[in-house]
Amino acid sequence: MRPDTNVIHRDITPGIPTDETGSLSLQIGSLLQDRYEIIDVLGIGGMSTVYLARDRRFARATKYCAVKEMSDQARDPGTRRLHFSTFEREANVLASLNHPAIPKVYDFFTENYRIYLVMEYIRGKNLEQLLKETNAFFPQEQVIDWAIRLCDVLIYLHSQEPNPIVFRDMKPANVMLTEGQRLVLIDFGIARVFQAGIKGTMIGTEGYSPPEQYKGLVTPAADVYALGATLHHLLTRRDPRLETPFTFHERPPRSINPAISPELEACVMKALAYDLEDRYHSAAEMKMALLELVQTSHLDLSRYGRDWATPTTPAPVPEPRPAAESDRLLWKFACEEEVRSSPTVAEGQVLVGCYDHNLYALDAREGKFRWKFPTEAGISASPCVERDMVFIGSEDGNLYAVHLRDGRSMWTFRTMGPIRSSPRTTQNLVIVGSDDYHLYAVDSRWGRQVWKSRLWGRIRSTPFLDDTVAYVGCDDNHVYAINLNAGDVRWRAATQNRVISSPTCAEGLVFVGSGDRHVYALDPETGWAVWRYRTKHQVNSSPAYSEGRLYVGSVDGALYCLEARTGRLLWSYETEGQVTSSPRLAEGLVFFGSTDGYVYALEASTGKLRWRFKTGGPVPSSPCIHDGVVYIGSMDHHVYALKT
Amino acid sequence: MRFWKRRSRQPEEQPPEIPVSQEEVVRPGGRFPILDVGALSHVGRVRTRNEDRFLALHTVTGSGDAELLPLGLFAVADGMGGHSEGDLASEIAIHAIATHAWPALPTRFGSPSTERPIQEVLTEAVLQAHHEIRNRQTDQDMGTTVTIALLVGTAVYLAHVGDTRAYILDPTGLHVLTRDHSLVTRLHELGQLSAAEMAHHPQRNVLYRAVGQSDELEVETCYRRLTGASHLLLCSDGLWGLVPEAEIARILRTIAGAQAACAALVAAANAAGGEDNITVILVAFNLSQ
Repeated sequence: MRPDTNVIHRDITPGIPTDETGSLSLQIGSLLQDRYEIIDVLGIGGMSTVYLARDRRFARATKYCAVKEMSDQARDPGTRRLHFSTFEREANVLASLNHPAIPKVYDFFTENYRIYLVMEYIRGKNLEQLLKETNAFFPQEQVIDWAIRLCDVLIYLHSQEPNPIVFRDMKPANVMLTEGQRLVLIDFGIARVFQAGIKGTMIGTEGYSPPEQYKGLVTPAADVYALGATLHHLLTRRDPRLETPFTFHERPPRSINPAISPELEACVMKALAYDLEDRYHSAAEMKMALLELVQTSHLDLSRYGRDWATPTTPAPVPEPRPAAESDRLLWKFACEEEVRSSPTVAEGQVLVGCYDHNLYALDAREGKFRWKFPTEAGISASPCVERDMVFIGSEDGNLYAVHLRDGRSMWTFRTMGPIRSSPRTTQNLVIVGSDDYHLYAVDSRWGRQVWKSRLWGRIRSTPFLDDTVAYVGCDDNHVYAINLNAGDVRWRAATQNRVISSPTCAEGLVFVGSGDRHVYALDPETGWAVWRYRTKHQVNSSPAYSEGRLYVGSVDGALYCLEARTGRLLWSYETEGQVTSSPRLAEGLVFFGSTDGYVYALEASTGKLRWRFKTGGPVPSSPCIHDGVVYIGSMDHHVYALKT
Repeated sequence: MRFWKRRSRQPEEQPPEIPVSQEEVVRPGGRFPILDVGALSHVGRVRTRNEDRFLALHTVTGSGDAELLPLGLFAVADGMGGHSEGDLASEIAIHAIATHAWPALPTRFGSPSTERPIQEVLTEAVLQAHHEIRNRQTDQDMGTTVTIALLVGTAVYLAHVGDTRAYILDPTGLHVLTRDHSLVTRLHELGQLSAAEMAHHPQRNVLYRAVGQSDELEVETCYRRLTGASHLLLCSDGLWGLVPEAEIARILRTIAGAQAACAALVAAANAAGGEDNITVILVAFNLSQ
């Protein structure tokens, strides 16, 4: 039982007000103070009802006003007296204000144990209604114009003597826009004094308040934060009341509405800083920042309200990003055919297979040829090094072991189909899959078969080995867990298409992509799917794990970054080709290739492009990163070494 | 007939010498724990009605001569709402979980492609509860917390909304697996409130997420491998709000038998004032390795 967690917010919404007995407290047509004739109901809130009334004092003219009725639910007469005096004080403060964005207060009185406040009637819509009635994002110029005007009214309120007035309730619903495009703040905290004794908080309104308000700290900076939250809502159309509190930083405006300028985003996010020191100290400071960004971004606000700033100098042509491609390239090495294989670096050598049948060893620093080892067919798989041996599978059906130093052959192991799976080693075993439907375990010293496991399709996925199990994908649409000691199947998990992607294990889960468009997380003991994430095309790229995140490419052209524990999308980056290359992480960057010919380096945390490098052909190869250098092959027949 | 023949056929060839050390061999039996489950719910000493509801189902499953796999579905719901609606909400939630999650669980090793991922099953069970509560709502304030724990072998998968917690106990102490969806926890995460301020904050009962409230519900999921852990505990805030975690850990370590430990936990919450309903589900396990 939790009686004080009723967190439902009833915002002021049009409707028929009723009092506790269920009847309308003021009938249409009734007269207050012999002067204000109730014409309509404008809105109803938890503590108050707002009526449209006609002021009969002006018999010849039709003068409308808004009458706000507050029901004081306190039973104790002393408390009521206190409420009334507080209310009276605030009403007097309001009445003394004179600003176009603040409704004028004409009168207040009590009648029938209720308190009434008579105010200027603002004919228009509030910004929340405007959000509801539209679907598209507001132009940023429009929002900036509103923001500057809201800053103006906050500056006015905060400069009141002897004490600054903190509005405390900035949100789209409290900002009215008249037909004449006048912006007016409504719902000054008059009703707030009556809420003091009410148990539980209406969490629904909480989305706009700053964290320090929950420690009882209310300063003008609270209005700055709430203005930031309001602007965030207006720019992104994401209602903060429906999100986890204080998560604006997890969804910066540009991640939702890319049309916003980075400067405006920075301005909104600074207003939303959790710590007071990091926030704009005043509405005036925020207004300066807004005016500055209008200037520097050469925005034209003349269509919206006032002409805040006209650019006086012609817009400079934005400087093109320096084409740093030549600086990026350390060396490139020409082979005779496509390089689909992914390089490996060991002992100062880059090892990479090529479709020209050769396994190459190149000097890692200068890209000079060291040795090559010829096979009988193209090599699309990637080499694997253990101690002084290099293992490589070829489409000629053989698994070769060659010496790392000079490339001389150590042994050859024959399978009955092309090998496109890359070998992996553990405990003197080399594990590799073949197109002959078998996964093989071969003694790494002598090249003898230890066991083979018959699956139901070609195996092009590269196995992932943990202490006791090899996880591997198969063209028969399954992911297998195979016991390393005997090659028996521990479990197999079904997907809806072939599994070329190679599994990876982290945080107690097995991650793998499938041709059925999904990325899966599987329970390593049972093979049960824990979560899956759907991309728009086949996932043949192999996932890479780093710091709680999973990075994987899709044939749909994007690189995805998912939360490893839940499969939730954190960001994605679109390339112009297919991403079958498997990403690699280093130095806070994620590297991968795309069939659009580029090698990409993105910031791992945000997915922002750091650099990209154009090769002469599609890049299905996966990068290898070693000592600040990215090694990667391209179908333009070259192996590239690029600075990270 | 062929089937039986194939079953009895000898391996074609003796596997050659296997260069794998004895420690690498998976021993049948002993990989998975045996579960001892206890559960108890008590109205406390202040409230007149118990609005908590819970569910504890556990069994074993397996395929062929593979090892028996323990499987458990545990859930606690802490209802909220004005009149008599709190217990209705928690009751609907538990019923929805029992009828939607349990039948959707895989029962053999490997997942057929027709089966849905565990986190989807658990999330959808909570969303089902959410929709059923919203359909029955007469007043908007009916809602409930929900925490579901699905135990599979040596892993626990969780889905939760609200502030009903799941803990595991291991030799280093009690670890909370869930994250309270409460305003004070959020403020604490931001460094705006200290743990001490949280415990006494006037709005410490305010949740920003509850089943049955708001149109869209975000269900949080997480999981943990149970390596090294001895207990899994699910409890409503009637326990963790009153009994310090060190005391909970001490009871789990000293009282043998899950049901007896549940009784001791409830007694400790009542001794500390029993301000709220108290519900505990305790799963004790031994990983025999």
